[in-house]
Amino acid sequence: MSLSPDHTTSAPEELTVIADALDRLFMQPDSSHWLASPANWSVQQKQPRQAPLATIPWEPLQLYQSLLQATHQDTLGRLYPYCKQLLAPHWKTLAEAHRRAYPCDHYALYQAVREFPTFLESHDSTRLLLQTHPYLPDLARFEWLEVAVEQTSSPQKQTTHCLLQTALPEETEDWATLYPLWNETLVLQVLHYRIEQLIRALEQGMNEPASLAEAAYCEEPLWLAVYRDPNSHRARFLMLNTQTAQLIQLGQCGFSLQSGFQCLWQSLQEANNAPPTLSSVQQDGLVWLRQCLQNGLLSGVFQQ
Amino acid sequence: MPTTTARSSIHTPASQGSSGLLGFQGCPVLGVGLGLRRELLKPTLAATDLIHWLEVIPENYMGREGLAQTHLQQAQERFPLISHGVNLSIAGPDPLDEVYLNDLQALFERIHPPWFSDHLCMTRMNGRYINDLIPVPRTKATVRYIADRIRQVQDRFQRPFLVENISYYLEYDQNTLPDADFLAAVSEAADCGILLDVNNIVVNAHNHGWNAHQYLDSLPLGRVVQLHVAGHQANSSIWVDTHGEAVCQAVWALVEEVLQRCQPCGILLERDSNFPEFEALQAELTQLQAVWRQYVHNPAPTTATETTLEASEA
Repeated sequence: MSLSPDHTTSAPEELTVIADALDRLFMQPDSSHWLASPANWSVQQKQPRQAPLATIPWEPLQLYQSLLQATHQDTLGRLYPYCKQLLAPHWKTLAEAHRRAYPCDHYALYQAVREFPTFLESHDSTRLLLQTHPYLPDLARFEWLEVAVEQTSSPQKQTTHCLLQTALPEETEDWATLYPLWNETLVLQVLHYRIEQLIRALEQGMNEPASLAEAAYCEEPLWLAVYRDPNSHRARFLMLNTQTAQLIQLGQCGFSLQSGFQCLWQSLQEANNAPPTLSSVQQDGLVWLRQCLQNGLLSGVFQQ
Repeated sequence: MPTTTARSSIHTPASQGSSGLLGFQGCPVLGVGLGLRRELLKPTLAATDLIHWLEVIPENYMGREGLAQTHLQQAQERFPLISHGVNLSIAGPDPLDEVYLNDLQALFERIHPPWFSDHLCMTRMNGRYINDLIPVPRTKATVRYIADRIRQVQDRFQRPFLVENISYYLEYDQNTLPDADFLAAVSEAADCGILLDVNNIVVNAHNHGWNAHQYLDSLPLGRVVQLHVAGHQANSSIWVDTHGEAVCQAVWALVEEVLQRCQPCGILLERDSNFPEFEALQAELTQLQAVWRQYVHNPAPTTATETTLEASEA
């Protein structure tokens, strides 16, 4: 065949109209029933909006839809195994509602399911489920964070710090010029349920919603640090007290050890009738920081 | 007759060459390969006697750190790597995704694939990735459009691009070209290579009632740089390209026919689901080695270790 040299990079009309029709059929929330049966399709294919597909029979279209659904269900189930275990009877329906509600805008397949926690929290189809399983969004967030820190590039990569020290100085006067270097994959998350206990209960075969809710109950929100172990490349989870979480946030905002502890001390003074001394806050903080260092959550301190 | 003139502007990294033998557009002859899959990682890395090179799905490594990069490094230390994408959407209606292209470039700077490939299909529409290989209407206009996009990516990445024939399960009214003529026209107009998936030919021939041998007659076989060999599901009226079954006899027979008619640089076994014990794949790889040595004129290298040593000396 001969090709004209003055070709263009804009998509030909026959391609765009077919792509639009397929997008409407496979990806939009309101078309999920169009391929539910050959009879449904025979109604829909007569509609003007589906004219580009008017002569295509139900079977191949249904095959494509089932392939899309299978890929999505498989990905969702691999990355959210405990949500899948909890929601087994509803899984296919939920996966399909999620696929259409949050279509994938990224080339990596696993990114297609990153909004699953938001979906569980806010989609119409999950409202009843949340009444019996209120911890579901937290569980999903917990499962997603494992994937995110293991796989994604570090958003706060810091590789050029000179004078990195991997031991913490005892003398607090040295702290004025020292800055904490947190694990570059670290994500802090507030949870309203004890997800580790919930997972343990699920692994022990517990499936009664009331018992699971009891296992996961906690009075106050919890701080969770999730980060990638630099050696195994696996995600690690660490529960933090509020002060350590605040200290991390201050460090991430560029506070030195000294100014971080001062800030923390001031906030404790405002919150307590019998506030601790700065010295005791610093001594407690040193213990937390050493634990963080041991766990790989803190990489060290550096001088600026 | 097929056009096989090399594009002098495209640089093929010599460091990935195995034996100094070059095919279409200077692609090095690599031999028998396997698709790198997480589920098969350990035995794959150990099978340097059976496998000469690995094909990686770039989307599994682009923009990622941690374990994925460790696995990639382990693979790269043992084998030459080829990039076989699934989401370039080279035939799709959306503009090429700049984030995707930049991340692919970063991956290439790391693994230096001598060629790269993706499918003749769309995977992205209206900004959404559909995560399956959707056929596009086969017309002269789409040939021009796709060829232009292939030229763009070949120019950008400065290495040969291969376009792969997909399994497709529906026919559009808008189609004016047969599938083989479409693939031929795109590859000629873009001056790119072909990744010929033999399994897809067998599946399509069954599903659409055409003749696999005549399909080959219509292709510019001199452009075929690589073959894919895989299994499919044949338990319903529509056969499905699952990569989850053993390679069937019809595919083996067609592989032999293809190798009698052209001299690709590599042949690769794909297995993506329903993973068997690795011994079953070893048996298929051994069979691939046998047909490769029987029909390919210059079948070197003999082992992946040899390939990697030569690459490090280059």
